[in-house]
Order: sequence, then structure tokens, then C-alpha cells
Amino acid sequence: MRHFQDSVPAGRRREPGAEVLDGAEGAVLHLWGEWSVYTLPECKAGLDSLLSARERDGLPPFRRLNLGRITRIDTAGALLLNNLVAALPGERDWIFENSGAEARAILDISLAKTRVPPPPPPPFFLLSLLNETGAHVLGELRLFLALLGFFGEFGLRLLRSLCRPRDIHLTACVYHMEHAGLRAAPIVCLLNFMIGLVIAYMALSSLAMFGAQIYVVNLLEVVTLREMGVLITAILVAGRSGSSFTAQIGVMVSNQEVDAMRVMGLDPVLVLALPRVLALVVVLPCLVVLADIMGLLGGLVAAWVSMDISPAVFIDSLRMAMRAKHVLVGVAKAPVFALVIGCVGCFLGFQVKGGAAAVGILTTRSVVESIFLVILLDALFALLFNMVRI
Amino acid sequence: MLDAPAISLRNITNSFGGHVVHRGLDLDVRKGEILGVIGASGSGKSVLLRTIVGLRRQQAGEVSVLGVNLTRAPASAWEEARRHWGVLFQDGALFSSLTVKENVQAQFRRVVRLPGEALDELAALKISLVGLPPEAGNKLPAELSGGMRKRAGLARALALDPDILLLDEPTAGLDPIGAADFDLLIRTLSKSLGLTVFLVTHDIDTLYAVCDRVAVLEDKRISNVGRIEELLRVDDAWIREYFLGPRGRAAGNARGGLSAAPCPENGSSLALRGG
Repeated sequence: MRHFQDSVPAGRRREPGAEVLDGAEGAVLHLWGEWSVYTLPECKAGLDSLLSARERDGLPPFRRLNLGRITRIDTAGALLLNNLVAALPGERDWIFENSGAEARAILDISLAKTRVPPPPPPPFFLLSLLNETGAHVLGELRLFLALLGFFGEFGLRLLRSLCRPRDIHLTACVYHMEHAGLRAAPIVCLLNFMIGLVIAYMALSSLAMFGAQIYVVNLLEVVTLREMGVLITAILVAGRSGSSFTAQIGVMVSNQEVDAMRVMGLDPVLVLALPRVLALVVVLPCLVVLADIMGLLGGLVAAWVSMDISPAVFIDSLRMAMRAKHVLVGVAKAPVFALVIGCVGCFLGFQVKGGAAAVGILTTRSVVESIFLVILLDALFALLFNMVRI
Repeated sequence: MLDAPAISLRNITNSFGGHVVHRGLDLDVRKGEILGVIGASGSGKSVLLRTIVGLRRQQAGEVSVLGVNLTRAPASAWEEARRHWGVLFQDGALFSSLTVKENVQAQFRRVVRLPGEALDELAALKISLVGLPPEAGNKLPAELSGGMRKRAGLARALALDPDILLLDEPTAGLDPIGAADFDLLIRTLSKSLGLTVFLVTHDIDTLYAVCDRVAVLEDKRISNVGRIEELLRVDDAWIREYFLGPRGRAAGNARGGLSAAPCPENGSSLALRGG
């Protein structure tokens, strides 16, 4: 059957057909054309209408099949014919007239059929909802505990390596400083410049109603230096570097590189996590300083363009309004955020089990969780600083 | 047209940057035969397979499948060619978010609109054809063993009754029993369905058990093609080392001299172990 089906172009594929002819030995079902998966709907419809018409007219069923004019039959077509043979009443002594050995072979193969059992029905939806909610909550709790454990493990390694600085992989540290810090600088600058611009515009339009445009400087000073600069930068770094930490370490885990390290007596937390987190802790405050400058610059441009406040006036009133504590509060939060972003990123990387799919899922989680934790911590910091009146 | 080889490669050149993998490579795969391709690691066996199915465009030369030159063919010719071949990648390459049954059905859904019942029936037939237990149809690829994944991949490759089956390292990573089962499965299916098989392998046992002819990829081209007995008479250091080295000799001896294993020709005897 392989030889006549070969390279029949799509346009010239033979239409399937069937008719019943009464011969000397009773009714014979003649089939022709292509009986394959491509023509299966036509085959099935044609066969069904032929059979029902015959039944309606009260004609006797046929017991012979003639496949002589079939141009191609594949397992799908053979399955259809086998089902036909099995479904019709009468003795099972079907006679295949004029059918080649290959077609018979295909028919035989298609007899070896089984049924895939239907998948087990899902449990009652309320029950499964409850079940899944519980499992999810427990899973999150367990992950949070494991994260706390990782913080402890990391802290221990940090203390130990501070006593023995030779354990710190300095080259890796510098590498990650470059990638998480230096290369993030342009986007951090651009983003904070635009945020400063927007804040100043919004504030200016309100302040102008009172003729108090110049106080935009005081507002910018608090908002940018204390909150926006560090928050925007931390969120950006979480999305940019935290996720890449998870992906890098996750791929190493799924490649069994981490197992290889353990077998060789290398400590994966020391080798992989410590340089990354340390690099982030060093680099994020620097990025925040950069972000502060750019945010103020954005405000300056907005004030100059929309309210004609000249840069000299802006800088002059900034000098009067600026208090060091706002800068310090902003920058002081950065290392804590860096620690959280780095640890969450590395921790989730180590959680990868199985293949590449898990890496993707955990990378997404890493971004979501580190941003969540950064904002949560920021709120806690605000409370704390409020209590101690800084 | 009817006598055209199933796959015909003419003067194929493939290179990555400055690194030439194939230069002036010629190969014909006859209809109905099982051709094994061997070669050292990195000699470009998989690249050759990818070139045939169009995953890689060769720098020069022509690929014809069933007498149709695909080199500068329109998309419709490729679409037609895709109906005639099935590919099994190394680890099955099953769609990880679909069950085995849905993986097989994805092939049907691509070409024809069928009611769910017919789809289920067809998928069950293909799944039993490759010797998987029926329950495997509802499992996700991640829940299967390596051997079962390969069988499921084979079921998907066979879904549309292709004329040509291209296999990339079908027995790599299987235990010897699983590998022998898979060899037998390929042999049985190809003979009963009249398939042409293009098989890239490192497994010398598979060569003896399955292949009608073996092509040797050496020095960026096919240096020799023939039955294993014929190859052994060729004066080529690499081929002799391949077949008469310690591993090759063991495989050859296990086959009772250097003759190919007897193959079951009967298509209905497909009772094979799953995975």
C-alpha cells in the first residue's frame, strides 16, 4: 500500500467512496479512493449514510468487502472498516475480495486496539477547592520556613567567611557587581529620571493653585530621597538580577552541577550564593545614590520646563531644604533590600527540582516574592523610622 | 517518481561559522529500507537529520524526499512532505503540558477535524501499536520512564501513518532490555507498515538488530554505505575499529557471527513489553 500512495499531491488526492453492488454471491460493499486519516470524516459520513439508507430500504446486510479500488488505506481507515465489521450483525465471516496483502496487513494491525481508560473524574469542586487552598497555604508556609532557614544558612556562611576572607570568591563578586550594578546603571538612571519628572509635574500642577510652586523642591526631596529612589531601584534590581540569580542557579541544579559541587566538597551556598548576594549588597546602595541624583534632576527639568523655575533657583532652594537624614534613610534601606532580593533569588534557584520547566516557574516566583518582600520591608521601615522619629 | 528514493541527498554542505560539518555529502535512502547512520561524536549525524526535515537549511546541495526536491520548494511542498515523515527526537520531545494521548491527537488535530470519540480511538490504536499500556495514555510525559517517553514519541511520530520515519538515537539512555525491545519494535513496525526508516545511532546492537544498510559519516561525507558484512570488507580504519573494536566485536558475536538478526515479519505479533 506504500507504493501507490507515495507523493500524491494534495490536489489530486482521490475522493473516497463506497457503494453496494449485488453480485452472484450476495451483496458486496465496494470501496474506492483514499481511506486515510485525511479523508476520515468523508469516509465515515459516506459509509454511515450508505448503511442507514440500506437499512431503511430493508435490504439485506452485505457480508463481503471489496477493497480493490482503494488507492490508499492507512491505520485510521482500517480502524473505521474494522469497526464497521464489528458493528454489523451477522456471522463474522467477512470476505475481503480483491484486497492486497498490504491492505490486509494494515487491517490486521488496526485490530490490535485497546481503549485508553477515561481519566479519573475530578473530585467534587468544593472539596478540591478546599483541598487545593490548604495545600497551597501549607506549601507557602513551608517555603517561607525554608527561606528563613536559608537566611540562617547564609548568615552562618557569611560570618565564617568574614573570619576567613580567603573563602570569599572575589572574582565572582566583582563579576556579579558588574552585571548587577554597572550594567543596571543606565536603566536605573533613566527610570528614576522619568519618575522624578512625573512626580514634579503632578505636584507642580497642584501647588500652582496656591502659588507655592517652589515647594516642589521640598516635596521631591522627601519623596525621591526617602522612598522613590530606593524603592524603584530595588524593584528594578529584583526584576533584573534576582530573577537571573534564580535562573542561573536553577539551571545549575537541573544540570546536576550543584550535586557535582557537593560531591567535590564545595559548598554551593558559599560558591554560588555568597558572591551574588554580597555583590548586590555592595552595589545596590551605589545605585540608589545614582537614582536619587537622577530623580532630583528629573524634578529640576520638569520645574524648569513647565513652571520656568530656573535650575539655579531650584538648586538653591534644594540646598536649603535638603536634610542629610532623608538621603541616609533611603540609602540605609538599600543593603537590606539587596540582602532580601539576593537571598530570595538564590534560595529559589536551589529549590529547582526536575527540568527546565521548574526553572521558569521559580524565576517568575523569585521576582514576585522579592518585590513583595521589598515593599513589605519598606512599609516596616516607614513604621520603624516613624516610631524613632527620624 | 515511483522509483525515486525515499530520501535523496545531493552534494550537501553544512557549516557553522567556519566549522564545516558536511562537504559534498551524497546519500540515498531506498524505499522500505532501514538505514542506520553512524559516525563519531560531533560528525554531524543529527545535523544531517535536521537538514532533511528542514530544521536546518544547508549552505549548498539538494534534499529530495519521495522524489520531490525540497531545496527551493514552495511552502505547499513542505506541507505535503511533512505528511510523509514522522520524527522521533532523542528524548521523545513530547509536549510537556499534554498527556500522551493528547500528544498523539495533536497530530490529528493539525490536519483534520474529527469527533472526540474518533480521536480517542485513533490515539488508543497508536498507543497500543508502540506497546504502551492503555493507562499510559492519560499520563503526562514527566510521569513516564525514558523508555516509555520514547515509545510515546514514536506513537506521535506514527500518528499520521508516515512513509518515512526519522529516528535520532532511539535507544540512547535505555537499559539493554528496553533497548532490545525498542529495536524489535522499530523492526516490526517498519516491516509491517512498510516504513522507510532513517536512523541515527551510536548503538552497535541496534545496527545489527534493525538496519538493512548502514551509512558511515566520515570526513564530512558519507564514506561508505552497505550491509554490515559489506562494510567489514571495506579497508577503512575507522569502520574496522567501530565494528571490530571490543564493543563492536561483542555485539557482532552476540548476533551469532556477523549476520543480521532474524526479524519477525508478522505485523500482528506486537505484544511487546511497555517501557
